[in-house]
Amino acid sequence: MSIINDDIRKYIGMETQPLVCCDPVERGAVRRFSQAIMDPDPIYMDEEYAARTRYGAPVAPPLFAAAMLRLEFGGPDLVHERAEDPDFDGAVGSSSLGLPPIPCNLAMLNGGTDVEIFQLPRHGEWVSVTSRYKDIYERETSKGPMLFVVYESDFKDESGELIMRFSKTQIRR
Amino acid sequence: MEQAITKPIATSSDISQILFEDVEVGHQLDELHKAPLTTVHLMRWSAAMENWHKIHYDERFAMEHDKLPGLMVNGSLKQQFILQLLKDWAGLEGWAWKVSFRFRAMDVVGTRLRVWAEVVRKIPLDDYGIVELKLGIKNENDRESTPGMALVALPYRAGKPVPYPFVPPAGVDFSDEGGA
Repeated sequence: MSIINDDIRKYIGMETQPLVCCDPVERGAVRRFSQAIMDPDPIYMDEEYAARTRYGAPVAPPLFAAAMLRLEFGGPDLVHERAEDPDFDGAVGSSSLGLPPIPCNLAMLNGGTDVEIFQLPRHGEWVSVTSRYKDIYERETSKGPMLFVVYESDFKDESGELIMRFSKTQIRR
Repeated sequence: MEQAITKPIATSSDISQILFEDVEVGHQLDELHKAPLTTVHLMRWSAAMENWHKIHYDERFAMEHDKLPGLMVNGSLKQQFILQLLKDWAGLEGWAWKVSFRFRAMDVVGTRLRVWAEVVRKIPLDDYGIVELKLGIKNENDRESTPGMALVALPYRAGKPVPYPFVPPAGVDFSDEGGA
């Protein structure tokens, strides 16, 4: 039985307006992030060290911006709104990179990443993102049909320069 | 300017900077080990990202609802390890520019991961060089879960700095062996 249908196909090519992430690159968020990935690089936190590098000041880890789309203060609280929904998987924030979720209740897995990185954002910098559904397609696998949802996001700094072009493939099964 | 005198830019003369000339095809990077990855690691990562996907901490949901073999190590966490390996290898004067990988197999909580990469091609440009690597993440059973490729820019000895922000050179591409 096929998963993809016209209701899903119409999402292909859909693109967001430029979205400004709800917080700038925060020192505390960078600390928690770098501790969670277990990367104690001094360029993330040490101002004197970072000042002697091409960054000039502490910066965030390479893929930090991809996690900057978080639940906005005062915005919809999916965690609470869907608290009694047994199918709610808890995936919020950066999961759909600012795009409206496709109408699909199947389980979600991370299929892969293609990324080009041009710079690391500094602490205090505001980051904006434009995301699009680059492709949505179905493949028959040994475990049955699976839906592949390809997201592409351009993350930019305050002057409009690219931080990175980040593409991820989400698998629904 | 005074700051430039008291805080000089770090260069390959005062830090351990790998240069394009130092690299040969077949060179294997020192592996990055992340082990073991416990439920605490996964919860810490969920908190850092503020993304509460249950398959990383709610075992009943993961196994009964999503039919998974157990609590999953986040792909979003594993990919950070790949970037750490490449960034650290490129050094302060190199640049981990382009990376592509696929999550081919699942890793459940408790696994021990080894991130690896090997140089497969060198592409000399006018001002610096591009190194192509194949890479991946293996678990304690030597099973590959995350095959991929990367392009990393490295400076020449006594050459110009790799541009920052990085400006991609025209006409350099690499084959993505992954495919979705």
